[in-house]
Amino acid sequence: MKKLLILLLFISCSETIYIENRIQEVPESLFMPQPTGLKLESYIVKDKVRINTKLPSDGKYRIKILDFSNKIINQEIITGKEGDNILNIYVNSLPVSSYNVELYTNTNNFIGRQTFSMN
Amino acid sequence: MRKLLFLLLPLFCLAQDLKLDHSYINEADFQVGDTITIKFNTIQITENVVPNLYVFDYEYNNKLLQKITHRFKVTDNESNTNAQVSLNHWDGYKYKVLNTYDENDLSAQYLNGWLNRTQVEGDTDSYPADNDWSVERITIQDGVGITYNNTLIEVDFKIKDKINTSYTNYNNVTHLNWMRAEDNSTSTQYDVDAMQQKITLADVEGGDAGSVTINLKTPNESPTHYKYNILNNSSSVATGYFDANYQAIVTGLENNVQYTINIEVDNELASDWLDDVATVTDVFLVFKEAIKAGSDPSGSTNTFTHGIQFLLGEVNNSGNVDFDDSYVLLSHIMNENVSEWFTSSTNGAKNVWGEKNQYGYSTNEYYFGQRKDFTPTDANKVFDFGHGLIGDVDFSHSFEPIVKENTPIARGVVQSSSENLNLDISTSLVNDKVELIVELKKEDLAGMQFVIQFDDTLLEFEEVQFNTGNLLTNFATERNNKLYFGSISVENTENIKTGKPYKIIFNPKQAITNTSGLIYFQTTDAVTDEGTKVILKIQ
Repeated sequence: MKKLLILLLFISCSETIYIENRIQEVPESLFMPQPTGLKLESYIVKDKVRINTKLPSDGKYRIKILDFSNKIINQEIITGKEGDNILNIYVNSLPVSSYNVELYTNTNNFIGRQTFSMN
Repeated sequence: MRKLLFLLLPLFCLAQDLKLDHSYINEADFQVGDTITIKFNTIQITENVVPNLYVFDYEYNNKLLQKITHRFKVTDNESNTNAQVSLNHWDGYKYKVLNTYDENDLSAQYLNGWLNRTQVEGDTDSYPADNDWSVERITIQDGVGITYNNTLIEVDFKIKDKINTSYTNYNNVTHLNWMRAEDNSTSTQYDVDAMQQKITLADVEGGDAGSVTINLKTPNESPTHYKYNILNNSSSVATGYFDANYQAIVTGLENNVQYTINIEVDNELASDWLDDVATVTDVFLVFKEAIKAGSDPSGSTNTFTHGIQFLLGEVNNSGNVDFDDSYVLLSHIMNENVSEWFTSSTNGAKNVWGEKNQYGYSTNEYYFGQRKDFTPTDANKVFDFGHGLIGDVDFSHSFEPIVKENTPIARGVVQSSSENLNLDISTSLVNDKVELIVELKKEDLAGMQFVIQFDDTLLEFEEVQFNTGNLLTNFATERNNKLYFGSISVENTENIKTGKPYKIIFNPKQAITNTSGLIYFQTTDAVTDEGTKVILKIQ
């Protein structure tokens, strides 16, 4: 009983310390346990779809969209930061089809790939 | 000794006395469906042999011949007007020749192969079942001798199509099986041989050709957008589309009939790519041909390497290739349609086609080698047709003619087929604007062309910033949600500058996080100052 009282006294007297880490809010649908990679929120797309590009470090990266014949029909160079980067793929200008999205470093080192289809 | 004489007597009597013949009486130019008439008659070999009884069997292949009717003719001759005649018919049997006797020894086949067949050990069945054959037995008897050389009977047959049979030809469609020839008054049997024992119908033409394969020869990646129409005497007999393997498997055609084939692109199906047929390479080649510029500085040198390029490059219906044609094509890549005589989404496909080996080579019969006919036969049921499109002088969507041996190639610039170039095109969000940048490292490009499609609900086109050089003709046209831009060195004195020759700027209509998917790289094309097509591969 004496020990319990001492423990309660210690807790009540200790100062609470909060450490604030700024992190981008990642929806559960875009959460990736891997350290790097690419994830789409949905694989059936209309208008646009959110993506998570999880990057190894700050810098420039390439997001490529390829058609079924692996021809690049769109390529964006983004400036991202280390960790999760929530972006969009807009599909209204694309012919209705199925596409691959690929994430590369700016020097074209492959990071991740996903597939989506339009309806 | 008496027994021996009796034994030898039949042998003496069975020396060849007459022949039985059968043959068709028609001209030997048969088509499936024709009616042929086969006549039967006897030919005297030995004098004073006058049989008054004939019984003989023949058989015909009922898969290849269809019996129509028969007519006894023996009573037509004055000597045998009172002859009695009979014909019996059985389907599904075929005579089994008794191999111990000659097949053409009809009297021996009668006596041993049929009449006494049950006594042949291990081979007793003279007429085993066979669904492909029908047997007919003709009997003629008279009180007087039956005259020779006159037709005994005529049988009409219709020639059937062999397409659904196991037969590959019309060989041996009939067969004389056996014959009894006898003098009834003395019961003397005579020896009969076959004259023509089997009838073969050679070179029967026509009939269902079965599956005929038409191969479409085009480099285009959309063969299913091509349709065919096969005509016979201007009437359509088969239509359809080519499959993904560039083939049309056509049925319902007949052998040895000449057909005409029309091959056209379906404009609705092909609306996405018809504008890609004539590109900056075509403009450049037509321009070079128009000015007769080639490797020879003295001028008057052809750029085109195939005669058919003069047809494909004649895009204003003037009858020749000149500056106006290059202007028409240049206008096209700038999205201005100033002629209806070439392939585009506005004009539709302007089709050129011909049998592969003739395509591209003019003769008196075939304008620019557009031989459009074909004739299926038993030996040939596969036909290749090259297809081209007016406006496509670089053969990007057209079959390039096969260079025939001894065919002179135009002197001057000989285009290599193409070369590849990796190109960096990318979009970025810069200061709240969307920028598309083309980066170029190759130094010898005389023309480049781009067609991009953008999301006009989110983007508004602002401008194209050219940094291509001082002497080049640049163009940029916006129409609907597409932007057509590029450059061409019409004087061919300066090439497109390397670096970043094109920067396209768009204004977002609403807040966007990034630019992925906002711009669709639809068409890219380039050509070197030597006229070589460059296939751009975005990296």
